[in-house]
Amino acid sequence: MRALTYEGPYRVAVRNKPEPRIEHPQDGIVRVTSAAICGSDLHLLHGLVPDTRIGFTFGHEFTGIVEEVGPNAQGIKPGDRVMLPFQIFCGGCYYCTRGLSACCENTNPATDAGTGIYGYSHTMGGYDGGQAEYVRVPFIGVDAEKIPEDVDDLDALPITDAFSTGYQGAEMCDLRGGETVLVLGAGPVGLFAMWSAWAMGAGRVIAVDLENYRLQFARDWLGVETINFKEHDLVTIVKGMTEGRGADATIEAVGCEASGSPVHRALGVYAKLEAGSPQAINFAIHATRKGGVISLIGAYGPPFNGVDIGTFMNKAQTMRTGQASVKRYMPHLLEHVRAGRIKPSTVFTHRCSLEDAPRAYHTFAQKKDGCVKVALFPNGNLH
Amino acid sequence: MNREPEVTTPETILRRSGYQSMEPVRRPSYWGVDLDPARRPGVPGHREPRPMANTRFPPEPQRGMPAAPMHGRTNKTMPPVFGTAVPLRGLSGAIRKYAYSMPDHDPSHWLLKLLGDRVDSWEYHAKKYLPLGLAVAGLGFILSSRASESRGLGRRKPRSLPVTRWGGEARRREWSRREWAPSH
Ligand SMILES: NC(=O)c1ccc[n+]([C@@H]2O[C@H](COP(=O)([O-])OP(=O)(O)OC[C@H]3O[C@@H](n4cnc5c(N)ncnc54)[C@H](O)[C@@H]3O)[C@@H](O)[C@H]2O)c1
Ligand SMILES: [Zn+2]
Ligand SMILES: [Zn+2]
Repeated sequence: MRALTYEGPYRVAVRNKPEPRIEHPQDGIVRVTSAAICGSDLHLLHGLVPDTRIGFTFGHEFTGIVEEVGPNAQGIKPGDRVMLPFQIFCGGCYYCTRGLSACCENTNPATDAGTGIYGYSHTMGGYDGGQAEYVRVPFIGVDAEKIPEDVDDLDALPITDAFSTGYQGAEMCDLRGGETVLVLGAGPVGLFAMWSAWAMGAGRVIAVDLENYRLQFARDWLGVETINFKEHDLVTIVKGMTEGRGADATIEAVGCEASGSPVHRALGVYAKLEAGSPQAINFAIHATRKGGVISLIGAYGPPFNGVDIGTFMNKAQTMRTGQASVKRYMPHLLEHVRAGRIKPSTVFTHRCSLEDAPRAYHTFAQKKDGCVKVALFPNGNLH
Repeated sequence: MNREPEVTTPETILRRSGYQSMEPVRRPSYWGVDLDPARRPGVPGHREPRPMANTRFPPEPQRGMPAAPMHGRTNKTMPPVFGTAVPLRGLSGAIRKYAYSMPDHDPSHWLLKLLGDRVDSWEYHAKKYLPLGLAVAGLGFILSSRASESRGLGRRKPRSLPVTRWGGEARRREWSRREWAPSH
């Protein structure tokens, strides 16, 4: 089959690879109909995620048709149209039984820090991802969510990751109505966090980025206020907008490749002497009011980086973190889609075949051509 | 967090000093659909544990070799399911295997894994360009031996030192260790 493969930092190619097989009685094989490129894939592309091996296939946001199921997979059959949460979980462990599928303890030997994730390095279990014609899906009966008839693949696709992550990011702010919510990063995850903050009753939503086209996209689509931190001193402006205090809650949807500090970019992103640039976390600590909440959903890896923990401590803030436990949000977000409150496919400014994926990766990484998010069609166009 | 926050209206926003947006804020039609925390799937954080739909627990152990070895915490047991994407191989594989022998709470575990990644990509690119490199080297060898034959056997000028951008010839290790030590 054809699959996107990693070729070392900054390089991906589409190559032939053996098709995946059922390796466990609860596995299934899915024929991928649509797969997205996520901001997290850029951390892989740029060689920032430990144990990303040459020849590995990326892709943790995808939808598809069930092709084959193992003898012990329940409640699912070939032909079902499904979407998969980006992480792999067993359904029955300490964490899964509490709804925390992002913390499952049965799918990743490599580290206790994370569960198995499709196409996310061997540190996240060594599972090939969905930017390919076929993909192996462990625990398919538990993990897969059937896509309702009246929902398009491209509207379901962001729910597997970006939309659920943004929603959980807003949920962790514990909004009760009227708060000022700052969202760092107007990428797909940030955009869905903004939508969710409105849905949970935020009084105002302020988007921050350095790419004006993304801020424009956020304004047009979601009616939020915007600040470009390259043009203004972010913290001063935010405090000015909030009677000198700072935002009630800040959602950090940027992650380890944050711009805004040449020192941290040099140390973390290029020299790799710290685990990526912590600049967005430091923005969040300074721009959030005392006692406020920081919801950290941008991705970082171990082992350490230069977070301004002293200011965080002195300001009596709370930080909530985590990968999204996507499965628990799927029915709820599908309900929002079906009720017409959001059209998640709006974020897909770029749609192309799998063969074009390497070019699409670079367009997305370099924020060229107005790109917000890319959808790939490994088995031919959808419509 | 303040449980009863002042509700900001679009009007108060417009009055505030640092207001940046070009257009007045408009609250969308779906504003507040999930204002009631009971509608939020992740709230409350703690609830009665129950297995998810279609769960068979405990899972059967997977057979075969995991591509990612188990990290070195001694009281950790192998999870029943694992990935098999790209097996360990070559020098990078040896480094990674050594990294995994350490527990994941030890920073060396991560630093060695990052080293393994760099070596993996050097190995790959060396292998990819090896045939080309060999051809070029071979051609170079033939040409240079022809040239030296025509110049007379084995008589080589001593290799000149490279010219630096400061004009003079580069000095080879003329500095002494003391020059670099801090002066007290
Ligand atoms: N927690 C989870 O489960 C989860 C899931 C998906 C993605 N993520 C992470 O979320 C992050 C965002 O994902 P995405 O797909 O939207 O990526 P993206 O790269 O498209 O978006 C990031 C945006 O942040 C902007 N930015 C850079 N530096 C900034 C700074 N200092 N302040 C404000 N904005 C800045 C960039 O211009 C870009 O628009 C990534 O780190 C990704 O790994 C986490
Ligand atoms: Zn992702
Ligand atoms: Zn589990």
